[in-house]
Amino acid sequence: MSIKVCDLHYSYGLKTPNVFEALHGLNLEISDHAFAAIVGETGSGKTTLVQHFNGLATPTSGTVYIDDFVVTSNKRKNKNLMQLRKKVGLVFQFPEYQLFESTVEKDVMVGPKNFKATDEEAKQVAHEALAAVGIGEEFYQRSPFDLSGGEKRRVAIAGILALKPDILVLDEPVAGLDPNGVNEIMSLLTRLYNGGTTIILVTHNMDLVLEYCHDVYALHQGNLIYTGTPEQLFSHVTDEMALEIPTIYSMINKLNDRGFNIEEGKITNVSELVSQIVERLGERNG
Amino acid sequence: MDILTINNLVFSYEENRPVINNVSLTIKRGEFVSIVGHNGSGKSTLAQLIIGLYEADSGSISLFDMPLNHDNVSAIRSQVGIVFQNPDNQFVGSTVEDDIAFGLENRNVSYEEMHRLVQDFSEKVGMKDYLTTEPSSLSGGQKQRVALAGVLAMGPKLLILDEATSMLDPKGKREILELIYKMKKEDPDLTIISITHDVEEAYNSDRVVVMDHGNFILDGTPEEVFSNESVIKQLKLDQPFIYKLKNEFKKYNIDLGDVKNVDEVVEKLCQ
Repeated sequence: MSIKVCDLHYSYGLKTPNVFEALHGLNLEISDHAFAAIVGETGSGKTTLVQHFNGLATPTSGTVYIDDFVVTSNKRKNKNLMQLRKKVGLVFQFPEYQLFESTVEKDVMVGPKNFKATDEEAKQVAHEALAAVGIGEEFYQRSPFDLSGGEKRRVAIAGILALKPDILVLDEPVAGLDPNGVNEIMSLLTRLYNGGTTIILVTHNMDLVLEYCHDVYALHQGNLIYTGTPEQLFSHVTDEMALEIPTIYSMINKLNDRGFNIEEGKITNVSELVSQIVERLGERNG
Repeated sequence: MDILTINNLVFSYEENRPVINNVSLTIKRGEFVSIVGHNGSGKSTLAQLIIGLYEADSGSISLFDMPLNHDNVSAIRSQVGIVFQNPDNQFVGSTVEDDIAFGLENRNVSYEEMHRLVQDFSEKVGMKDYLTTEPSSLSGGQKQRVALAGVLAMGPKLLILDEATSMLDPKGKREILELIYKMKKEDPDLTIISITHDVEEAYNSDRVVVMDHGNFILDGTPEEVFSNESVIKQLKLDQPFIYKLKNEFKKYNIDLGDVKNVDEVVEKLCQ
């Protein structure tokens, strides 16, 4: 499933004195089976944009196409929103705050049951989703509130996976987790991606963007200011973009300012960086 | 003066499953100590024991040379400030001003004094222009700055940060850390215990204590702790960027020596 956004405008507080345009005519395409990141400072419009991907927000003007689904300002044209929401799963920030059932199993069954699955069917898909996030049977009857931070978040993601979405959009999926929790979630997303799911991350964590994402879309004050690969973005960040860059890239940029000629497009981790530096040092001395 | 002394402390939520496993620790006035470790290592439980929210199974805690017990707990708490992880869970006032004043009101501070303190500390944290703002309309970093102002206005001897930056965006995080470093500089006697997952944050404190399964595994300067590769690896702790870099260069038999940050490394490589 691919997503195409055409001239998307969105304003909060329409018909009030506090009207505020959050998105100023965005155009972008996210291809089928992408592993993409949407980045930008707080208030740049990232979350507002992704809420259009499953019709949670409807455009003030412009259109969003998700395969055959259309989301426009004309609410009557926005048919099959229920079906769209099954195809595009949206995982909010700190999704563990939305766990509410008495057991892990029941919590993950809520989504399928909302889509009219029988108890048996819901249980079946819940078990599959929990297996996908690495939560074993021994957790099924436990209260979601007794779990660790990383476990809770995986259960919350399982709740969305139980709807078998083709596109999974996650808003800051690793915020507040310890390094173990971060690894759990990122290896889960990699597995889902390898299984054919499109993954779209909304994040401030540029190290993750560099390590995992193939495409990046940078927003600034409601405008799209960059699309391309993370490596290209981080070698060309300017102050106006208000983006933090990974420590590796701030180092590369400093080295290149001193004439090191590091080829930034090829580097995603410390060992690749050091290997290039050593090569350049050899050339200098050699 | 010792700010905190912990002796042979044991605590368990369930019988025979100690979360804090016979630990001892002394923190002196003016120290800036980071406690790092994975979720479930006992870090936050330790903080809650220190402020007397839980009672230890055995062992003792004293703060400011007073043993922590039923008689002293109020006197001790009045000198400890704590900022929690979630900025949304610690607001009580309907405006920033009310919120900063809340703790002072509870302590029967006179109106004039309260007004002065609110003005003073809101200015220190850079939130003076927001005194009449509703806390809900602030960014995460701004909320944590207000929480910090409320806590610092009470003049604590000990400030505990329980993952105070972990839910913030990079800008909010930087705002809070810069503010904390500034406060520490202005008041070198302020003792800070920071519970954190962020190794870069820990690297910038004076002392790092590593916890695992309720035990203190390492305790030393950031240099001592993060250069102990066997433990760092065994616990799967992240290393500060500068150590990753040093270790990678070692593979090529290049010793970067005593470098503290990226700028120093770049300088060294350009020599």
